[in-house]
Amino acid sequence: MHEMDCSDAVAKIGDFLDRELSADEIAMVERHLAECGGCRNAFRWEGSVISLVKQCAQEQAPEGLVGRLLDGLDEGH
Amino acid sequence: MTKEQFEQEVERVIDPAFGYAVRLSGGNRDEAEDLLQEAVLAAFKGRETFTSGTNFKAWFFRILTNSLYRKVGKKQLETVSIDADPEPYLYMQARDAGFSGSEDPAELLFDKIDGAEVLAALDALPDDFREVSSLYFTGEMSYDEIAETLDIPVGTVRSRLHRARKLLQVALWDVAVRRGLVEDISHA
Repeated sequence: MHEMDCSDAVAKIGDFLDRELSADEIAMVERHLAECGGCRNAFRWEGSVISLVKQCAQEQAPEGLVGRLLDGLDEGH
Repeated sequence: MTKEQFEQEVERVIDPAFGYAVRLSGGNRDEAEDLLQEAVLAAFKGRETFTSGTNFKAWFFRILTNSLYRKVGKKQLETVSIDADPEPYLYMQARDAGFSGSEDPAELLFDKIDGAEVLAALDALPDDFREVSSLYFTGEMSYDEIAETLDIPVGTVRSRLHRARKLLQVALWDVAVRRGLVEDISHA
């Protein structure tokens, strides 16, 4: 089976971290990462950026919002 | 769909929906509530168009997105020059600045960046990129769900998201440089 080089691996970085690759592609990326410290670092940084933005962007709806939104919905509509 | 089923579905998606509405409203939580109110009313009135067994979240988020654009109109995608090369921008900048790359990036930089600065970078993205990124970062959606919500091909989602992430990294690196974090660490 074709093995990945660094540019192949980096091209898959987003899809890999988002779990959007096939099982075969995941296995190929993982084999490359097991051998390549530079790509392991790059993937870790990339994953860390995604986690940071996700963590900052998470919101909890204010208390009572659902009730206010749903209150008065008219079954007749 | 009965009223009770509708209410249960809305309750299930309320947190990510609120987060998405906040981002669509440029961080304004009051406007986000108004937007959600309009979307809930529109969705309830049109609930017969929802096909049972399909993805309620994508259906509702589409209505939410349309509620915003009915209000403010959608700007055309600005022409932004973004290198399509999926290089890990922040990692490469950090390496060029003298970091070994094996450090914990969170401990090194990201824990020192204020959440408001991260959100400002997200809110400053061009409309089409912000839309996809907000669904991804706040809505916790897969590429397929984002494509369904925005009625665009999955390939377009992928490409916008990857480019948006690069723009975010450029913005975050600028924050780190401006606040002296890079210099502090380089000389530590």
